[in-house]
Amino acid sequence: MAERPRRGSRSGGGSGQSNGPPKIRSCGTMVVHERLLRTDPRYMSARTDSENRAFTYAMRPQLLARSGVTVIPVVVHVVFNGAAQNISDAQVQSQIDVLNHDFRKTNADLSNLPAAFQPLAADARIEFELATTDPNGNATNGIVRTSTTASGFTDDNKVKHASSGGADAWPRDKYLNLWVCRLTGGLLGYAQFPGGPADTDGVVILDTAFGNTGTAAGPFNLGRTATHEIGHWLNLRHIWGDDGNGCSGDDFVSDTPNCAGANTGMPAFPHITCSNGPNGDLFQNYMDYTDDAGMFMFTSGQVTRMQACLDGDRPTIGHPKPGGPTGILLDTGIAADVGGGPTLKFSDDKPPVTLKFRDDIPTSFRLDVQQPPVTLKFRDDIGTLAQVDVNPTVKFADDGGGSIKAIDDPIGTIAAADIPHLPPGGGGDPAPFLLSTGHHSMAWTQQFPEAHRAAVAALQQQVAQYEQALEQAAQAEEAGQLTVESSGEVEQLYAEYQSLVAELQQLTG
Amino acid sequence: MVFRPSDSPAIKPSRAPRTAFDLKDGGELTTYAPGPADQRIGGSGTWRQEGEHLVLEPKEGPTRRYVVDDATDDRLVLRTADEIQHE
Repeated sequence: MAERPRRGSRSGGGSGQSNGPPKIRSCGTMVVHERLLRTDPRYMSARTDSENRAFTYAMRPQLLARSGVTVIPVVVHVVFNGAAQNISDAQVQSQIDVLNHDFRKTNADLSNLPAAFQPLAADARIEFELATTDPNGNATNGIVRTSTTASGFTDDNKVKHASSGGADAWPRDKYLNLWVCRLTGGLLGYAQFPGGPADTDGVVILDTAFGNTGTAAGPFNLGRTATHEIGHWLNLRHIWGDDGNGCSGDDFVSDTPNCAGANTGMPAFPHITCSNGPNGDLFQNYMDYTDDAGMFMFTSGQVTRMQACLDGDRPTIGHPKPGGPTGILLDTGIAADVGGGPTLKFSDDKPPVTLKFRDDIPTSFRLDVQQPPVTLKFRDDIGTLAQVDVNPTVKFADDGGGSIKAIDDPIGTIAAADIPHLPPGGGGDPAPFLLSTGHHSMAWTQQFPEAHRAAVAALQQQVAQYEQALEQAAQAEEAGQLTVESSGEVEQLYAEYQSLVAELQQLTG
Repeated sequence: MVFRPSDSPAIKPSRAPRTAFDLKDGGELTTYAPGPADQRIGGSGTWRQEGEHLVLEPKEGPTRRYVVDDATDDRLVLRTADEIQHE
């Protein structure tokens, strides 16, 4: 006969010896999460804004403000109890290196991705560097070491406060805070979505799951716990939608296949759930629950969501990487999604190609559509006639050899009905059609005031970031720290800055 | 299901946060469920013992009834009602 548990308070975690997951897991999660949303108005408001922005950007990635690579300063708080937990600088740097491979799609194990999923993998255009300046302006190596008497921490955020044995956060508007400590209860790490309290913003990682050297221990010794948690910090959800084992949860990303529950360990491909055959779950994604060796990619949709988070939730963090690729926005541009009708999507063009159209003056651009046969005529300021292959390629005579590939998705043919704002037979109206530079779309400026405001705001933000970067470069030059190579990058940066200012002036009149 | 104290070395790291609960004096219950950002989310409720059964009544969610097969300082073994019915 069982006896009453003897201790006054028992805190326990399942040891994994159960024959199956408790049914309460999923329901409890969602119920409590929904309660938090109901009872914390500020959090609910922030989350709503964040989701609305992510949705908008998913529809119109050309609104993204950061077209290149963003470099995010990182502070690593090593909170240790004993020498073994005081991980080395090399182990910390190994984690940064892993992040820079994973978020730039340069990780070697990406080759393990099944061919069917390879088109989904995307460069997140985010890099990380240990902070070189602390909040007081003093030089730092970006690693803060704090000795603690706590034998371990759980996920109650105590490690994030000096008053409870941890270390205080650095300002989240400038730094990504990573806490490394001994976590109890089998926790590998946890994160906080954007929109939560500032003093707990960041990511916590188990010391033996940090980086890929030193004390890192298998099967979580490849640094992917931080990749996963930083994905949350950038507003990514688990790919199964956090609905337990159901098929109705959503990660709010369209290119991750619907799937049931979390995948753990090292699953065999394919693992089919929720009628997602023949390729099944995208368990190779960083936002699943597999071992470190089993996850190695983000998708394009996830990248857009993370970039939307940077624009909206974390607008001041990071700086553009000088010399990084630009013009990537066009690679995922969506055009003609006007009037709620069908969309014309443009597939990726290989970076660093930047497509610029000499006809992006709205008042002189018009699109005529005749069918049958389908013919597209572009009457722009150059006066050229475009050559059209209906599917899949649309070529512009004046684009210097570049091309835009039209995906037959879902409309099949390019029809006049896709351009509802054009009067029959044309006229002088601006066409509601994507006219993109590498930085923004001007096409919405006249007919879509909200998009115009968003474009202006995004451009202003970019200008401010460039000014900040140029100011840093000027300071480095004064200090004699600017190399010849860096000078070239600064010149390029200044040229891009001038281009941005010109575009901003054009937009704002 | 085998539960252990959260600081037990027998609990190995796991990507998926574990379900957990606190049983406190006076029948106070705190439950922990995995959250969407891997931070567990707590809930409150009450607990009581009815014969061989441990009954958990979270404020949100259904009442859960378990048979306690073993309870020591470092191990609590429970069977769910479903498992009981299948015996």
